[in-house]
Amino acid sequence: MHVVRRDPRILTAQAFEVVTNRSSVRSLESEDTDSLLEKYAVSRDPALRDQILEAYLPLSYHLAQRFRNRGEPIEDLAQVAALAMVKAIDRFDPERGVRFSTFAVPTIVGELKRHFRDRVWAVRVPRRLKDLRVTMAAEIAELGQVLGRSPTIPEIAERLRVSEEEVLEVVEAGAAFRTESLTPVAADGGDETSDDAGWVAAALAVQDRHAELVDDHDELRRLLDVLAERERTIVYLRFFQGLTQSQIAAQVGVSQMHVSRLLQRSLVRLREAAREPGMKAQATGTVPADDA
Amino acid sequence: MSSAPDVELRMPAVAANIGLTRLVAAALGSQADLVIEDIDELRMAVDELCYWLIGSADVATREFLVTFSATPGSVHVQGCTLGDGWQDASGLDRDLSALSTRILEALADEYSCTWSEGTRAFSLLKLSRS
Repeated sequence: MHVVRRDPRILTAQAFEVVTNRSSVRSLESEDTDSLLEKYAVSRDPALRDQILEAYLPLSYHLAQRFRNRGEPIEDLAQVAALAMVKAIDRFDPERGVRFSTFAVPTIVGELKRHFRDRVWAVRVPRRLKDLRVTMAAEIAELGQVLGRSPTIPEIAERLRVSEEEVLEVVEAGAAFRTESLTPVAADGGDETSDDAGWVAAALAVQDRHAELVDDHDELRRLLDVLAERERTIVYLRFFQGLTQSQIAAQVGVSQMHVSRLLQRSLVRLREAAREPGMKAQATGTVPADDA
Repeated sequence: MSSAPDVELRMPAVAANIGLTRLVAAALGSQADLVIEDIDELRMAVDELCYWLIGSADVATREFLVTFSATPGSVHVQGCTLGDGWQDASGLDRDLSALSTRILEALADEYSCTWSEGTRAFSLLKLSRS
C-alpha cells in the first residue's frame, strides 16, 4: 500500500481512496505491526508511530464509513477516526495482552459518536440544508481545485443546481452548530480534544511560533486558553499568522467549510468567555478606537 | 454588476438581530462577486462589529442602523446607534478588545470604530481578493 500524504497523520482525500483498498486490510495485526507496537511503547519514536498509523488507517477509515450518510462529510469523519487511531496507538499497552484492534475500535467508535454528539445543531435546520452542506463542502473543494481560487456563490449554486439563496442559507446555517463542545477541559483533568489537536499543532510545526506570538499578547493567550487546542491552532493560523481558510483546510486536512465553522464557533466562544467574570479584564487589552 | 442602491436595516438592539446583518452582508457579498471565503469573512467581521456596537445585553428599547452598499468587488458596511437610548453606555465597551482588533485586522480591508457620548458607529470595507 502506498498512501499519498503530506504527513502520515494528516489524511487527504487521495489517501482515503487508497486506504479503502481491501487488500491492504490483510496486513493488519501482522507480527510486524505487533512488533512495531511493542517497540513504540518503549521508545515513543514518532517515526514508529507513523508506520503503525499507516498500517491501521484502513481500519479507521472502515469505521468512519459506518457513520457516513448522517450529515457529516466522510473526509471529516475519516479525520476524526484517524485522530482517534493516533490516540489509541499512544495509549496502547502491549503488556496487557489485548489485541491492538480490540483496544482501538472502541476508542475510535467513541470518538466518532462524540463527534456527532458535539455537532448537534443548536437550532432546527431543515434536513435538506444539512444534506446540502455536506455536498457543498466537497464541491467547494473541487471547484477550488479547478478554478485555482475560492468559488463564488453563483458558481457553487450552478454546480449544485440549487438557487443562490439556498447556498446562502447553508452558509448562515453553518453557524448554527452549538458551541458547548469547544469547552476543552474534562472533569477528570483529561482533555481528549486537546490530545487531538496536540498532534495537529505538532504536525503543523507551529507550536513554537505560537509561543513567540503570544509572548507579546499575554492577555490574549489567557483568553484563548478557553478554546480546545484544535480550535486555538486554527484561530492562530488565521488571525495571527494570516493563513486563509483554504490554506488552513489544506494543512489540517479538512474542508474549508469545516475551518469556517470552527472559526465561527471559536469567535462565539471567545466572546462568551470575555464576558465571564474574571476574564473581562484580560479580554479588554484595549486598543484606542482611533488607532483601530 | 452596477453599483446597487444602499440597503438599510433598522433594528432593535437585540443580539438575535445581528444574524440579519450577516445574511444581508452575505447576499450583497454575492452580488458584488466576492468568493465564498471572502463572504464568510465579511459575515464574521460584521458580526464582530455589531456585537461591539450594541453589546451583549438585549435592550429592545434601543435601536441601531446598519447600511450596506455593494459595488463590483467590494462591500461597504456602516453601523451606528440610533436615538437617545444610548446615553447610558454602561455595559458597553468603549474600545475594541485586543482580540477583536486582531480579528478585524485579519478579516477586513478597512475598518474603524468611533465613540462619543451617546453615539457609537463603525465602518467596514471588504474587498474581493480574487
